[in-house]
Order: sequence, then C-alpha cells, then structure tokens
Amino acid sequence: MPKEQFQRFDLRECSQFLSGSDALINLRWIAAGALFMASAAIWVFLPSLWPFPLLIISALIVFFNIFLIYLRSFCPDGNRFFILQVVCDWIFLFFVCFWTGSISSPAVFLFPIYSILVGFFLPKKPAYLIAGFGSLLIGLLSLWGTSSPLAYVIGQAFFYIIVLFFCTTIGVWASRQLREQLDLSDFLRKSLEKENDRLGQVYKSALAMNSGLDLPNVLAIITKCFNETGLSNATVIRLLSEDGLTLNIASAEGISSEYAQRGSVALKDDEIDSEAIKCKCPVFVSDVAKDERFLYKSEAERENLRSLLCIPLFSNEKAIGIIRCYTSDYHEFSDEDVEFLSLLAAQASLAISNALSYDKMVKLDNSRNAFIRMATHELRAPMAAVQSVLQIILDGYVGDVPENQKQLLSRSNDRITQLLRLVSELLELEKTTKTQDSFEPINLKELLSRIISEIAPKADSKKVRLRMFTCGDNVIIKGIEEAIFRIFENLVDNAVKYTHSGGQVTIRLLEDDDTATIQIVDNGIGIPSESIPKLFSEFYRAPNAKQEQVQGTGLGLSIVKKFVIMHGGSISISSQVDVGTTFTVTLLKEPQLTI
Amino acid sequence: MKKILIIDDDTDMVEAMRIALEAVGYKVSSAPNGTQGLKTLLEFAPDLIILDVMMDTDTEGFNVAWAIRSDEDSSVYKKFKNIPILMVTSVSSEKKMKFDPKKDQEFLPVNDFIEKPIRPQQLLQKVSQYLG
Repeated sequence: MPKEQFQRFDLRECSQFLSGSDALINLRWIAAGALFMASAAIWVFLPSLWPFPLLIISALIVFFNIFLIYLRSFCPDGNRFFILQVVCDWIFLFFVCFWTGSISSPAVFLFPIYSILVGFFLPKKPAYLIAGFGSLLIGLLSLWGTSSPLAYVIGQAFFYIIVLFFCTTIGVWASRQLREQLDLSDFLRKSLEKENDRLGQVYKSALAMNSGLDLPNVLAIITKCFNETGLSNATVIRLLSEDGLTLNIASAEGISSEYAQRGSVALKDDEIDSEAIKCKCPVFVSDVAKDERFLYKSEAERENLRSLLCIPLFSNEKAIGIIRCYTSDYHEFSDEDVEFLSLLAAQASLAISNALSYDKMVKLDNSRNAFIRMATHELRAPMAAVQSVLQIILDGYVGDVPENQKQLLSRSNDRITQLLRLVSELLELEKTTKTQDSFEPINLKELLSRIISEIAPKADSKKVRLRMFTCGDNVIIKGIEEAIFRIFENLVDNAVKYTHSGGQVTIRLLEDDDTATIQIVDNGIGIPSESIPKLFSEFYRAPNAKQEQVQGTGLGLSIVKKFVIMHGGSISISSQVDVGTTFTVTLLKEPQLTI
Repeated sequence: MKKILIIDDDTDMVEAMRIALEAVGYKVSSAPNGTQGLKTLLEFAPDLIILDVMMDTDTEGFNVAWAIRSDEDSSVYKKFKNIPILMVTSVSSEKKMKFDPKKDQEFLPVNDFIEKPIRPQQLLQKVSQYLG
C-alpha cells in the first residue's frame, strides 16, 4: 500500500528532532567526549604536554550539561530553553577564552560557528539578539585580559563580530530554506495522502456498490458509502420514474424514516434537482432553509439539514436519478470535494443502472416463465381431454365402433399425439434460455444407461440392436441434468427411429482431461449432404426422413443444439445416405453457462 | 358397489373417466374444484378419489389431498384420512416432480399418479389395484 510508504518518511518527526533542544545537549556530550579523548591522546602521545586543563574543561562540560538537563524540567518552552542554553554556553565559552588568551584564544572561533546553530534553530529576531550578545562578549574579551596593542585587538574583535553576524545570517537562511522544503514536502505528503485516501475510498465504494445486483441492497450500500466519506451527514437517492417525470426516494441514510418516506415529487416541481439534471452538473445550496427552491424547509430544519450538494446520476447519457448529500453544518464543498463526490456518483450510476437492468431482466424472465406455465396448461389441457375422450370411444366404452370409423378415430388420435409433442417441444425450446438453473455433476454412463433402458422397448419392437461402449464408469460432467438427458434421449431416439429393422445403434462414451465425447452411430437411412447444414433449423426435416413416414416435429435437433450450446459444448454430424449417421457431441467437464 | 369421486375442472376429462369407470360398475360422482370436492367427499363418502393436480392453481390438487390427509383430531375428513387418492397429471409435470409414489409415500399425500391423456385400461387397472 502506498499509504504506508508515506508514513515511513514522516518529515514532521524529522523536523521535531532538529528543532528540539536535544541537539545542543547532544553536541555538548560530543564536545566533552572529544575533549576527554584529546586529553587522553596528549597524555599518551605527547607526554611533554600537560593534558590536565582539557580534562577539566571536559569534566566541566559534563557537569554543565547535567545542570542544563536539570534546568530543562523548569523550562518546557523549547525556544526559551534553547536561548538559555546558548546564553549559558557562551558565558562558559567566554570564560574559557578569557583563561586561554582572551581575544587571541583559538576558542573565540567557536562563537561564529555556534552562531550558525543559533541562526538555524531560532526565529530571526532572537537569533540576531543572541548574535548581539555574542558581539558584546567578544568586545569584552578584546578589552579584558589582553596585552596586545589596542588597534590590533579592536580589529580582531571587529573581524569576529562580522563573522559572527555572517554565520548567524547563514544559519537563518539555511533554516528558512529547510523549513520551506519541509513545509512543501509536508503539504505534498498531506495532499497525496488525501488523494490516496479518496482513491482508496472510491475503489472500495465501487467494489461494494457493484458487488450485487439487488436494487434495494445496491442503493443502501451507495448511501452508506457516501456517508462514510465524511462529506455528507445524510444521503438521499431519488430515482426517476420510467417516464422521467417523477422522482421517488429510493434510499436514504442519516435521516429519519418519516422524512425518507415523503413519497414522490414531480421533477418539474423540484427546481434544484431539475437544474442538476438539466446542466448535468452538481448543484450546491449553502443553506436549505434560506433557498427559495428548496421544498421541505420545516422538515429539513427538524432533520438538522443545512447545506446540500445535489449530484445528478446518468447512465448512457440518460438521467436515472439524483444523489443528495446534506450536511448538518454550513459547509462549502471545495472543488475537490465536488469532484470526489461526482466520481463516487458516477460509480453509483453504473451500479444502479446494472441493478435496474437486472431487475428488469428478472421481471421479464418471471413473466415469461409464468406465460410458459400458463400456455403449457392451456394448450395441453384441451388436447389431453380430446385424446382421453377419443380413447374411450376407441376402446368401445360407449358401444361398438365400426372398423372404418375406428381407423379414422385412430388417425385423429395420432395427430393429436403429434400435436401434444409439438407443444411440449416448443415450450421446451422456449425454456432453453432459462438462466437460473444451476449446474450439477452428472454421471454420463448412468445417464446414457437410463436413456437406453427407456428406448430399448421401442428398439426391440423395431428389431434394432442398441449397444453402448464406455471408456469408464465415472465420466462426470457438470450441467443441467434434464437438458443433458434430453440431448441424448433425442439423438438415440432419432437413431432408432431412422434405422431399419435389423440395423444397429451404438453409443460410445470417451473422455479426456477437460471434455467428454459421446458418439451415436447408426447404420440407418442417413442424411443427404445438402440437408446437413439445415438440420438444426427449427421445423426442418430431411426429405428422406419425411418419406419414411416416421413421425417427427422437426424440433428435436434444434432443441439438442440449443442445449449443447448452453453447456458450452459442440455437436457435429457425419452421414451418408443408406450407410448411416454419426452424431458427435463434445461436452466440457467444467462448463460456464452460456445463453 | 364401490364409489369413486373425481375432482377435476375439465368436464370432458371427467366425462371420459366416468364412462370408463361406470362401464365396469363403479358408482361415480364428480366435483369441479377443491372446495366442492371436499364437500362432495363428506356427502358421497367415496372409496377412492381421483384428483387433478392443477385445477385453478398449480397447487390446488395437492392442497385438497393434504386437507384429506390432515393429522389434526378436529379434521372433518378424519374418516377419509387413509382413502386411496390417485392424482391425474400430464406426463411432463410428473417427470418434473420426480416423485416416486412408492418411495415417497411418507411425504406424498397421494397413492399414485395417472397420466393425462387418460388411457382407459391404465385407469381401470390402477383403480382396481387400490380398491382390491
């Protein structure tokens, strides 16, 4: 996550470290340590020299530092403590210089060097005041305890004072540069963090909004996402009616249910919403109680709604509704806020239009299913009744029927049977576009055996031999069992139907890693090559099939093909007239439902 | 003489069944819907009921069967709790239901199914099977 990387480089901590008084205290420890090491080095390497004064100074610095640390507890203000330290340091330095040759002491150089730190860490004014104090000390040193000529001493002091102020100025300048950079980085970091947060929020919201297709759920997620931005205390979604004339509150979060159930309002009556939709841009109202266009002033007062940002929702250039973001205090939405909320609203539009489309699809599917059920009943019932009555007459329950009449009644009965089958198959063809059926594992060998036992009596009576060869007992594919059953029931039934007595029908089941292949091979009448391309068209029957006088609706194969395609599979035919036909169906073991 | 009650809204279907059943000596009464059917059940006191699966609604036939099979002591149909019920269905809907009347006897309120269109022999064979 990029956000964590930002946190790793926290510049604020860095600047705190620099500006703290700890820097001087640490420097003092270092100075004391350095002096101690120097005295030790002198004692070891230059035994002729006397290291004792350095050791004393080192010890003094240590005690002085401990004293200052003690003082710090009485002086919580960082700047003041810094000044106190500097004053004490410089007085200390003054005495060191005094003892080591006054203005001629090499330690005088420490004043200008120290002043860089003073300029760096202190604000401009105190820094120059301290520099003035340093100049005073240098002046005192030049007048006191030196035996050099006066002009030389004054020149030296003058030189040190100029260098002191110069170094202070360098410190002040460097500090200002650094602070500007720090401030800039801090500002950039903050704005990047904010952008990052918002992008994350947009991403998260988009994911949440598009995670489902149930409209009320999607709307509830959207209002929640808007409230979670912290820019909206109450969010209301109003959706446009189909005719685009009325706005209905579809979802609300952060307001009472009473207010949310105000009902619908005509778009032309609500000037704020209609303006937003007309200009295709957000409309801002700073105080709803004072805006002429706002319709529900007293209710808004009760709900503690103050400022309003009204963002239109568009899908494919068509307005679908409005999102209203209310705040409980006066709030001017910045350009960035508006841009951010508009981005969220665009995501919301997408999610809403998806959910709306899905809603429509489900309704359509439901009404189609209801129609199919109704049609099934209405078409089948009268035919079943006619057939039942015919059967009663044919079986002689209402008196003897002469042979010639019996024959005619039989023919009527056959035609009705055919019609019933046509109706069933037509309805089945309709049903193939159904989407909600879920795939389940199917054992193909078991399924094919069931089909064989169902068709076997018919094959036996026709004296057609029906055989099956399988490569294994456990060829499992996923699919809609009813549909897969219909595919092979149809193909095997056809094979038996169009094979003459004494012929044979063979079913082969093969598998590889991803697919199962089923072949239905017969040595029947075959299909003329010019008929093969038309075979899967609805109501098409090959000419030689019609001649055979075998009953058929011409719908079976189109149903087969629809089911095979629905399972992502494929079907092919090879055939030769009077030799036989082979249907090859390849099915995926893990198919995706295709419509 | 055994009595049979047919509950079916399709009068032609009722007529076809009545002719076949009366031809072999059963006494037949009929009702066009569930409510009438339950009323006739009490008056006519049949030995067997032939029930259409869907009359006005998909479930009406089953609702009638459940009412007759009710376990409640206050049920007015208590006397007929174990009466054989044959349900008339179209072939496809029987397939869809995937019921095996023998296996699913415990939760199925009917004893057997008769396919539509009616074939007289099948009807008479099933009826005589349940009327002994």
